[in-house]
Amino acid sequence: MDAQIVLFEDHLLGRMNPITLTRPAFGVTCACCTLFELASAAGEPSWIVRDYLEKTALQRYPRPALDRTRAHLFLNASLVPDSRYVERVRSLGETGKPFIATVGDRVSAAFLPAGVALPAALSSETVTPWLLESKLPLHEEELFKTLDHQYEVIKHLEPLFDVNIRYRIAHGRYREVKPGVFAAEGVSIADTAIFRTAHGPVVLDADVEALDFTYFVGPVYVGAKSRIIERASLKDHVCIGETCKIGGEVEASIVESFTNKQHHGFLGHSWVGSWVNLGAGTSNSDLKNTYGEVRLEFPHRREDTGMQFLGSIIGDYAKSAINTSIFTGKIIGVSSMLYGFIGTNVPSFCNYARSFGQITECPVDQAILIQKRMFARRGIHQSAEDAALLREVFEMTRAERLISDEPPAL
Amino acid sequence: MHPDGFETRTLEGAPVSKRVQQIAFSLPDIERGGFPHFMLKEISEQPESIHNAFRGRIVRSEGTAKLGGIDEALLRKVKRCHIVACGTSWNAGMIGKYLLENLARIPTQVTFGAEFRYAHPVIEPDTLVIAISQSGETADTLAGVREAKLMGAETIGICNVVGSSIARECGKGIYIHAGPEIGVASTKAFTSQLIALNLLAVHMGRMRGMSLRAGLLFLDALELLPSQAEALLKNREEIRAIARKYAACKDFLFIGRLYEYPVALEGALKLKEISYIHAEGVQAAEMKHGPIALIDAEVPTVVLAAQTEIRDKMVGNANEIRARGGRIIAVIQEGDAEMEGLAQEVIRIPRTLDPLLPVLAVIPLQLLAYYIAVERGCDIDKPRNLAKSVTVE
Repeated sequence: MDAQIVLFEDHLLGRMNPITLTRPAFGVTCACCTLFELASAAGEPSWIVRDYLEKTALQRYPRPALDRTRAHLFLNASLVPDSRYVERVRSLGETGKPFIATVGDRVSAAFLPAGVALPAALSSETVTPWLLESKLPLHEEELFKTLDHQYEVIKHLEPLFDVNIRYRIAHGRYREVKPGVFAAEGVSIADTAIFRTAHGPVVLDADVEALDFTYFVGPVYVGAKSRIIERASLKDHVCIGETCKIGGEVEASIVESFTNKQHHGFLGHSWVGSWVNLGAGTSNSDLKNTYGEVRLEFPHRREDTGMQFLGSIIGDYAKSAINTSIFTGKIIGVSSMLYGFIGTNVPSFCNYARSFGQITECPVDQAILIQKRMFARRGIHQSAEDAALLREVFEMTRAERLISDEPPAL
Repeated sequence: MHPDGFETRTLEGAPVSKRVQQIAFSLPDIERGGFPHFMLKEISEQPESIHNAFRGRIVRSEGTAKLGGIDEALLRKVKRCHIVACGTSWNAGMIGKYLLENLARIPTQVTFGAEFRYAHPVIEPDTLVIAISQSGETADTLAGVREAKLMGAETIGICNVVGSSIARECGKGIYIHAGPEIGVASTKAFTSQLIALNLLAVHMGRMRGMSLRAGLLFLDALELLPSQAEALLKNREEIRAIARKYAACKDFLFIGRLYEYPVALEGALKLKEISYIHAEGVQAAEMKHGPIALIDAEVPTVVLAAQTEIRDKMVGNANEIRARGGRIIAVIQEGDAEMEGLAQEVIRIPRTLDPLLPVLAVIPLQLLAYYIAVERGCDIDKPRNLAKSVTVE
């Protein structure tokens, strides 16, 4: 593709908290793909993210410099990671016609032919206004959808899973080791593992271990180097990131990389960030007793999700104690510690033991120390940028923990 | 200068001989800028006055409009609007109702200024009363504003004259920046009022779920209006030819639906004001409930059918008029061959969005009224029995 792809964040990411507090929007997994992976299939993308995320994002996502001599296809970093977009992006990049496309309140994409001067500096705050001021012709079609709210990663999970997992199979290096079971190099599957693939395939990436009596009902995707613990049950649209340990029952959920859910307990219709540890017996509810629509509660507002099944959204670095029970549709902030019943949203950096009458702030230094210990267990060096990111997010979320005489609630 | 005359001297006091020459034109002639009447001058100024009404008020980076004279927090909490106006401004207000309801989804009603105090209006909390007046001195509208304030409503004014009574009484609002309007029949103020109402509706709409795309489409169409109005004005000779054919008629009907219904009212009002021809603006669907009985070869009907949303219904109206031997002057969008086949006369409007259509559709009706009045030898800038601003109740 002649045009350079530029993934850009915009000013409307707040509604994705806590998912995008600690990661670029293009790094959010939904239905076993991230937008960055898909954009990379169409061309080497450059990117523009919020300033405070830049250094940690550079550790994980290569960024070619903006080539000012080329045409540019700007794509919103919040586009839903739909593998069908790869071809659409390629063809848009080749038509050479300038356009701007919107979805809801956002610019979803814009094409600037070669020769259009880019501003000297572009940031996540300036790129959208600049594109809009450029008076590009408005594209007649919507073209792309975006992830606008945190719960939408679960809303899009099932509709996108089939197309995305088939895209992975077609473009990955897998062998079909059993009917509907696709394994990359180094995968180890216990003889007693059971696979049900009538409703979708199971894909196990490199070096995955599926231990005895594990039970898979496809479609399921397990990322490289993850271990599925004995008797674990992964059912219907489950997506596990790399280097995770998964036990118990998991249904229609996304678990980002480096997260442990070793033991029994139910996780359903949930998104779990990276470096999370869910203690033994931790379970979440994903269905109201009334069988009604799940509604998210925020200070001064409620948000209808339109979903009957919605579990939890759990931010990076959160931990839960044994037998923690999380109620339907709760949002857990970054680096929070959960104990007992979780009946409300939980702000970031909280020791949350409301059912025991104790809610306190989790000092950021402690969060950084825990980060260091967790990284060390995976052979990862904690950089100054990793620690600085936690400090930044701690400050950004301070207001969540300062809500007058009310117990903290997100 | 002294009581007996004048003399001219240099700065040093030396007398200078000056020749007195009688100029061949009057001060009003200069002010008319070469136009025979203020009304035609003001009609012709509309490309500029329309532009002035939105200049500096577009925020493309957010796909919306900005209105410096109105507090954002006030507009966010509004749950209901109540427009108060008289005459041409009332017609603009009717279009404002459609705009606020369609673009911003805010329930809106329109009341005559003279009736507001006596109609016992229901003013609920978070009601915004919008007073529209070119001069800002219309007595009935001013009284309505005062009554609304007593009832606890927030008020804003849409006025042309800066510092006018209504502008001061409201304390906040939108100046339309149309420049002085001298002709008694309001023309450029009307189109500028429509721009102000569009900006308000889009601004409030974007606060309430109107998409970025819809906002950008609106801004694109808005910025095209001045050049489209210019193009319409270049066709004035075609309208003059129509006016010559119909100047002797004693009655006219103007029909339209939705956004074009108030345009029909305004077209009829202009014709009444300056040519003294009896003219009625009728909601087109109401024709079958009575006014269609008036149709014959002597009563031409101006059919406003440029709106995309409800055009097919207007084709039905045109067929009904044809079947009864009526003559049709159709105002249509460029390229509407079906309507061209039904009408004796056709006036083509450049394509635009339906909410902005009245801004263009009214211009040929202003010209039609003007040229008919010229043909009939009427005093166009000072029509009988009328005053520019009605400062009595």
